[in-house]
Amino acid sequence: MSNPSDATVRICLSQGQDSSAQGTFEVRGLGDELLAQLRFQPPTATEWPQLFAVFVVTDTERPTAASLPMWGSYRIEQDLVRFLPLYPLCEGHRYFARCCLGAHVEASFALPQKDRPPPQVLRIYPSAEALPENLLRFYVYFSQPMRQGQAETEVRLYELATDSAPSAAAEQEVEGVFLDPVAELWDPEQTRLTLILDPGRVKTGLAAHAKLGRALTPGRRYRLEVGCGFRNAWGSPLRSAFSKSFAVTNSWTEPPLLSRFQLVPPPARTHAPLQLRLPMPMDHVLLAAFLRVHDQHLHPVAGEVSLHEDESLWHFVPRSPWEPGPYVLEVNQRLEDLAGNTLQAAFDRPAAQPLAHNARIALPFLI
Amino acid sequence: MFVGDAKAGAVFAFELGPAPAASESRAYRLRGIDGKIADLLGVAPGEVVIRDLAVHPVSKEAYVAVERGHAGQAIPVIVRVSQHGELAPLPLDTLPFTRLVLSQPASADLVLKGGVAARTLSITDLAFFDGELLISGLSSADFSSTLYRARYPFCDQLETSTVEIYHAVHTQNETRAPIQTMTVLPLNGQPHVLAVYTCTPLVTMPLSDLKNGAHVTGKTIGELGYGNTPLDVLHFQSQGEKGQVQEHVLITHKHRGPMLFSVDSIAASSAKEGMHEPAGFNIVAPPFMAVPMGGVIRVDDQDAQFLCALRRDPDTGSIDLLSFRKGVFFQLHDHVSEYILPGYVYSESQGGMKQFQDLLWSDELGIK
Repeated sequence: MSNPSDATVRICLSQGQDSSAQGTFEVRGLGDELLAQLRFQPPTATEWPQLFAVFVVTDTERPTAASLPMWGSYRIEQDLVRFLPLYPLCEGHRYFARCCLGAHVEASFALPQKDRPPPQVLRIYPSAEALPENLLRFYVYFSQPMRQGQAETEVRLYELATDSAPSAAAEQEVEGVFLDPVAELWDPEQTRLTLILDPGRVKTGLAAHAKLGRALTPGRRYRLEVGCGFRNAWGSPLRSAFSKSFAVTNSWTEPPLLSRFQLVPPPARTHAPLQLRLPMPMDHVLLAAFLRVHDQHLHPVAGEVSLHEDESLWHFVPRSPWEPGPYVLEVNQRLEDLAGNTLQAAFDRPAAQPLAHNARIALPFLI
Repeated sequence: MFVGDAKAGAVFAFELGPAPAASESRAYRLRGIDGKIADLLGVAPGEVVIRDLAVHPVSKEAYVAVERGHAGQAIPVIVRVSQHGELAPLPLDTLPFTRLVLSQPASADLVLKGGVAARTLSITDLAFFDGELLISGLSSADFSSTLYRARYPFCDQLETSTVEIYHAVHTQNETRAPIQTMTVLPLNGQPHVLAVYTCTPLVTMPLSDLKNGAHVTGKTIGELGYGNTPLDVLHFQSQGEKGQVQEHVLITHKHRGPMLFSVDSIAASSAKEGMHEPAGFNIVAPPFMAVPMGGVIRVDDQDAQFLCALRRDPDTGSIDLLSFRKGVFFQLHDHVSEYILPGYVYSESQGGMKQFQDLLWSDELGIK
């Protein structure tokens, strides 16, 4: 026999005005008597999900027998019962609520995926079109935060057919190129992916080289591809695949010489950039992290770094105009070129002396 | 409980408080724990990434570290699982904690036009031994082998060492290869770090060598095979047939099956001169047993009887939380055998086979 008040019992999703506010589920129309009864003898934590439960549903319309209700807490309010999920509801998901308070009521809620343009690759560092045979890493910049765990399947390196290396196919995949770390290397926003070329194949004199061959061979051309299946944090794939083609030159085997760094001081009382011309392209992240300008009081000078000429020219524009006086550009000796050679040692040879951690070199200049 | 937070460049130590001791030794048998956790967290299974596993040394509850959602929406969650298979969220926001900062975030005073100036640290492993925490990491920019060492409770002093190894597959010394997984254990009377690297050198180094600012040369005692990334290394004890204590090291891999070593064999190799010759593509290592624990991604010591493991099921692809009986190291229900056919009669010549199989059925399915 049905209770005439059943028709009024309903489940609503409350998301508030602010779209970022956490959604909660409400059971309305329970009647004062039932609410008073619940207040007088509230259900226990284990009883609540039997009375009112919310499930996330993916492949099915309704939860299955194996589905578990979401974690959350319950609140008896003036004219309703509220379920507050422990974690925020997610766009693009569907939720199924079931209530046995007073009447058996079910409801399904689909949270639409927000409309955002598909993600794309913005650029790949290093920028140069000619890269050394012993290149250590690529950086891929995306327009949106991306999901982890896709690099192994979505990033590929192809060798292009050239006159000197004709191939039946126009291009051939080079396998086993990248180091497979336990966790992928992303920046905190997950818009920059670092790919390390397997040092086993980068280094000279390798047994790995004998069997697998070097990943890159001088004189040949390659194409690094980020596949369109690479998905953003919300599951949407790239607008299109992105490629960077490059030629390979002989390996870089010597530490960069500081004597070949050219520092060009700017005029006083301007925002003109301090320029550092480098003997070869260097790692772009380390150029930002490992170079610091200090004033005569040894205070760091705030400003913006920009990189030009394929990361072989470093510009620093101060936030405030340059004051006349002495300055110091401090360079961390762990600064690396594209092949991982630091100012202290070549990548594939131990340093002659023990490496000093974070040792810095001061390059004084006068404005 | 120590939790590495790569995004914050820090390690958090949460105080869990006193826990009641487990009243019994009971096998975990939670199939599809990844799907269950996704349900409880209110997301599709693809939105949950399982990161690690630790077993509480007293309560024997399993703690599973997961990430809910991706990128900026990701929320770190630790799920506590009782031996009866009940799951509960650990209230990370209300537990008392202390923090050890490993790397400073990029200065707001310096920005990189068109790029991200931050060098981010990926924490590859943590190991706790005798009041000290060791942390190994891999940076997204400069390639370094830094090993951090700090006393707990945390103070301001953080010691850093760099480690160099001979890589017998790569036929040369490597000054900057990062440790992927490690543990600390006594070898020949001295505490040593036992570290496993990608592609896959097995290395020991005395803990006493890891002084602040030191550059340490680890001893390569084995090559566990090329084309492979190690996942976990576990030092544990078991009881031999005559009741004697046996010590083992289990190493799980991403691309190879788990390998079980005796600590004695590792200690013996560590006492000899390290490898300085090319290993080619062979496995050259202290004697080990290839145990049938394929698909295990994370493992911890549970109790005197069991190891607790997260395993990817080869048939369904889902992740299971299972206990492996020490000395047996396999799951009976993975296999179709004539023993399970109705009417199968054990003969007397099979000795204790029925009792043994009944014991495993009891572990795995709760069937007595």
